[in-house]
Amino acid sequence: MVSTSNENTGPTPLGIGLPSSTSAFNAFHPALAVAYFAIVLIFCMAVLHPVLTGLSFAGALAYHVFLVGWRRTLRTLAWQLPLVALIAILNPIFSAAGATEIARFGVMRIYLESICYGACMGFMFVSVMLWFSNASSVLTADKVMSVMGNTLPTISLMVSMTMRLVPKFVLRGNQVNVAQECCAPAQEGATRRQRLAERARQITVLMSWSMEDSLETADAMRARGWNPKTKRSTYLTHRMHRRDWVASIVLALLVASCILVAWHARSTFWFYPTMNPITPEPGYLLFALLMAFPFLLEGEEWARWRR
Amino acid sequence: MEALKLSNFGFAYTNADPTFSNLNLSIEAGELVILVGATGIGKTTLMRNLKPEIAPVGTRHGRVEVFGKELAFMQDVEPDPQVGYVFQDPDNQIVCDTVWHELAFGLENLGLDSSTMHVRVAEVAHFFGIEPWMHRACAELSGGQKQMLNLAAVLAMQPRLLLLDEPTAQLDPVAEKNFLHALFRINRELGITVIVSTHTPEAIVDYATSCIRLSSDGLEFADMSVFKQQGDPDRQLRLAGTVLGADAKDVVTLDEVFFAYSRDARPVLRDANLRVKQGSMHAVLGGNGSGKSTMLQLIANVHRPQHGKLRNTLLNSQALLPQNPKTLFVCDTVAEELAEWEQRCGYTPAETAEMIEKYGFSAQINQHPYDLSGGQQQKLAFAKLMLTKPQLLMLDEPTKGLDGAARLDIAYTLRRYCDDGGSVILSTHDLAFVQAVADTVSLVFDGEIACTVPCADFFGENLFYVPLHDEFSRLMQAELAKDKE
Repeated sequence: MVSTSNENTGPTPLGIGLPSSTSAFNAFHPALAVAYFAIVLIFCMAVLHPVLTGLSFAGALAYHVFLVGWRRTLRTLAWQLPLVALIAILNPIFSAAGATEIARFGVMRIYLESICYGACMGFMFVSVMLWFSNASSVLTADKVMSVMGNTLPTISLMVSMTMRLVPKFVLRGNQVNVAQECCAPAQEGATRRQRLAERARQITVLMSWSMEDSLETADAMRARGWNPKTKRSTYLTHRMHRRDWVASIVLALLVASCILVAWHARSTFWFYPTMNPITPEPGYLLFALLMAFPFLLEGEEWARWRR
Repeated sequence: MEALKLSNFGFAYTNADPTFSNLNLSIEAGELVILVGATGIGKTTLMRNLKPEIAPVGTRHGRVEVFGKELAFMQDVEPDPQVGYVFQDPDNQIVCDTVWHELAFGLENLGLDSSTMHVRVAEVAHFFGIEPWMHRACAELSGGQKQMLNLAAVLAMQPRLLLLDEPTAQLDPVAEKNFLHALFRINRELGITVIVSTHTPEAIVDYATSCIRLSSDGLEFADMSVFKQQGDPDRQLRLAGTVLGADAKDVVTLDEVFFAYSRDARPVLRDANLRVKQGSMHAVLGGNGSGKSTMLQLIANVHRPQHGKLRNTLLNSQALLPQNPKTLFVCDTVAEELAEWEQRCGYTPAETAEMIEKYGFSAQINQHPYDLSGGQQQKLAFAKLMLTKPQLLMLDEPTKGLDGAARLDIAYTLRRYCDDGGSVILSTHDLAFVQAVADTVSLVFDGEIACTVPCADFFGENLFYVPLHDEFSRLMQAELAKDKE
């Protein structure tokens, strides 16, 4: 890319606003994706149940593979699975509950139930992370903003301005860094302590530079009609269409039934003192469907392109 | 109809002498006017006074009329979309994160409904050819694209009078031409009255209908013909310097250097070969993003090449003057700034004082570096680096945004430095400057060094690299003529 100002540091640091990885959500109003990920994350965090947690992990993982590919997923799993194991092992140390004793170290007893509970917690934890990661690759800042913009124009402007400032700040930081680093004689004579102090001072440089800039930005805003007292309107980049409503209704029905499923599952299952056996239930299928909702959209989209 | 009328207009900042007084001017609708005047004479102050929302605080007399209506200067003035304003720095006036939001920002402020905004944004994006990057992040745009976006965002508000304060000072020559051409189209196709202040009127003179000059005597129409390029440019216009012997040794060598910022990124340099001789002034030319700045950083050892050999024998006594001198300023006053490295680099307060004297900072030693003009900031950064007594000096666009006098000043300073045995690598777009001072010119293109030739040959042979005969050249001609006498 050609550029005068960011020639210095090569590629720009953040890809904000770029079209996200191909996902069927792109064909719908961003509110659908925002709502879906919010709901899934709430389910994920609120329901601790071996089957449901497992399903949400499976859903998150499958969608992650779809979005970023096998290679990056494996790389993520390489640290996430050990994390699950770690939580599973650590849990019995902090909570000595359960009935099936499998080991004893001095006064400390390790119960099977406690390990299972920990493993379940671990899977919940990593699936929340995976869902977050999926959400961030589907939802660009742009899309989140356009959903927020309808109701909160001022906040959405503030977020937009912040998103504008972050890459600018990073770039400036690099420039300051390079400038100071390049001055060899000055670097040579510096003691470690001086260098440390210099780092701190570079931040001050960055701050005063940005303050200076923001004065001009404020003027530019005023020159373009910004007035904190008048009511602003919002430029909508997306409109709700029929297909958005259809998908939303399907999602709403699915969510409503899954609330019942989750409530039922939680009230009939307990870890301590002994775990009750898990029997297959049709409700699990609904929950699986919710976790596979992106794939429903993908399938529909795929079918359209095949026609 | 008159687009703008000043009658006995004057302005003074609070507790200061009047910046200007008794200005009279009348500009017809549909004109494209250039405003010239020496640096610091108050061009920006005047321009801002034509837009009450951003008018500086102070006392005014006389009247300003825009399309027959007198401007009211008061706090919380109603925004007036009739008058648009574009600032100098492409970066600082961008408010939002994405291009579409930036275009809509002004319209949102006016409280227009969504469908009206869609039409306006579509219209203006189409006019400027912005559609392909509507959904890009502003941070990823080039300087030229950013300034074009600023212009488009102002035009979306449908102004009838457009004010621009040195809009192309931060752009490279190609982007500058693009921008000015867009300005020309706005003026002729849409009939919008344009007033643009500039210190390089040469670039826009062919489009302008008239020129006004602000001086201590007031505001008056000026003759534009001096800015027009006439006949063959003077290809011999250069400062005299020490001629290098053939035996001068290489201080920097690049052999088949390859560099990319990351494994999957397009390589910035593919096969760069360069030799810089001791005591020479080596200019590096090339388009935007051709890798000039990156090459300087490679030489300075900020990055390391993935392939090839790079040798810099003066690595321990080098200095790099970055594009923006602000990156070097860490202190609150000019004097502290220059003294900052005293202990570390082993120079004495006496030397600092000498430097203050030499570069003419005596009157400003207690000022904050940010309060200096662009040219003075560049000079201060330069002085600060010179105190470390570097033997290799690298400069990244040292003349960007500076007026003729400041550029000439830097030209003399650099020439003196080289004549004293220092080596300089200079990356720039400023051809007149290169012709004036450089010994050798290298052209970077497509990741390679397309050629490295003596300066005189470069400007003698190439068809497209013609230095602009501007204020800098005129001042230098005058200076050289004076020397001869």
